[in-house]
Amino acid sequence: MKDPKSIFINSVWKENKLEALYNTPLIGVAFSSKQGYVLELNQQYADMLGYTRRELVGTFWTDFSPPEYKELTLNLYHRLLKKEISCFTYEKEYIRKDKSRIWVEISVQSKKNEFDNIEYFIVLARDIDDRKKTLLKLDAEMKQNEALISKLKFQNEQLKEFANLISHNLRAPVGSMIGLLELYDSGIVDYKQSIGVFSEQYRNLTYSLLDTINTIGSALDIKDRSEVKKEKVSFKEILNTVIISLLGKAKDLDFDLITDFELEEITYSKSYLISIIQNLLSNSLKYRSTERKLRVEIKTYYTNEQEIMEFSDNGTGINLEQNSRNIFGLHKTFHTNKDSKGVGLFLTRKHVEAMGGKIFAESKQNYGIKFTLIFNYHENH
Amino acid sequence: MKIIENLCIIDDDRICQFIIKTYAKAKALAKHTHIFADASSALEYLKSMSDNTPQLPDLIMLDINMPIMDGWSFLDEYQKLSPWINKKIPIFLITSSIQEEDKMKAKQYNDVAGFYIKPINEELIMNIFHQLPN
Repeated sequence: MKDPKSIFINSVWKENKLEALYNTPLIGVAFSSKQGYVLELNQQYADMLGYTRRELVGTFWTDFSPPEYKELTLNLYHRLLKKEISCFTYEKEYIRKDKSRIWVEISVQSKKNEFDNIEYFIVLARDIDDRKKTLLKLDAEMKQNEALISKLKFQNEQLKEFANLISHNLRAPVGSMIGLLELYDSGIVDYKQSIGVFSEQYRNLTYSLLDTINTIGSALDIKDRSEVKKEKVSFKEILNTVIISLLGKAKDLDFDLITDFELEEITYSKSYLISIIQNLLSNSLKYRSTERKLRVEIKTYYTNEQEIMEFSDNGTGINLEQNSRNIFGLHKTFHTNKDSKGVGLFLTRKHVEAMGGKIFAESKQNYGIKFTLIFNYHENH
Repeated sequence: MKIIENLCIIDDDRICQFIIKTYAKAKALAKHTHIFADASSALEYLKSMSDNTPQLPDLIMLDINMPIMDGWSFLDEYQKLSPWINKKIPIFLITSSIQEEDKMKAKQYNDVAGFYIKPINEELIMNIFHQLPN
């Protein structure tokens, strides 16, 4: 077998007519033995790596190729050696003499002799460091911008919702108060007969207005996920905390509870998760069916990168066919009962959304209700 | 001004119900008043009365923001139902919303004859009755 170096010297200039290319400062040209040793290279190649040409001749390819590219590089060369391909092009980094890194685009071809045997490899390398780094930087900035845009969108929706709340939930009771006053002033109702009705209605309105203002205040207090303290929380522990807190509050705690925490814990705000589960569970207790024993099922699992909790009961349910968006809305409630429908689920949705999640409900009247929570919804969208 | 047979109020707000009912009674605007605190039972009522023209409302006053089924959903369902209802019933939206988009949205419904903003007073109610076709 002939010495690879001599094959190289004999053939390179005559057969490949590479002289012009070899002398250009635009592109690095090198020749590598089948084993992976540098046989010869031009000035541009040496400059890219920060060595002199003399220093590089005879070095092994792993001397300046980062370890994380080893597998990819070996794989490509093996395919060349097996003659599956005759050339390949890829982007990678090189380690320079001063240990800094440089992005290069590399194109490798095998040089074969008349018997179709590979003699050596011709390696062309182009400095794409500026372009690549700019692209990587742009990419990072894009991601940051996207995150910012989604945050702004979320906040904009929050603002819209609050405009809506003020329009409906605050204006409504004030409008009713004015309506009552005008009716009273119009003189069309008998003062003595109606005074009891008027004062009772005024009392209800005033308390409900206070309730609404308090609820909106609590909703405004719910902080965005970037501001809230997150920790590893276990569903089992949270559920225990909730049940203990319900002892004494709920009248009838006799119910079947089935849990399946396939996903045992998530990184979340502990107090928010307590509030979410507490609201859902107390709703189940409140709207239980009189015809059967209450059964609550809580399931957590992880699928398609989503952290999911399903919470269902066999209570009275609600007819959601016509309208499902309202169930999580804040409703005007003209009675002083703080447990009135709407507030709990409104705050639950606020908690879930503030943490970047999504909640929705499916229900059939008289069959119960099922809530599905995707805790990390917005991380994936 | 026309005095109607059946007035229908759909509003979960008991005070608004009371105010409308009191004016209607004092001014003798309607012979009968039907009050529904939730829109779905109003819908059920209209379905059951669809052939009974004299019993059907001559006027519906509808609130927008209601739990479970809101005014918009009522209108959507009513649109599907109206071919089978044996009367052209004018619907007046009475809402506490001052949002322009609600007003725009109301225009998309053929059955909506008017859009009024609370508080409800004598003038508002008289305006609605003056708008009724004779």
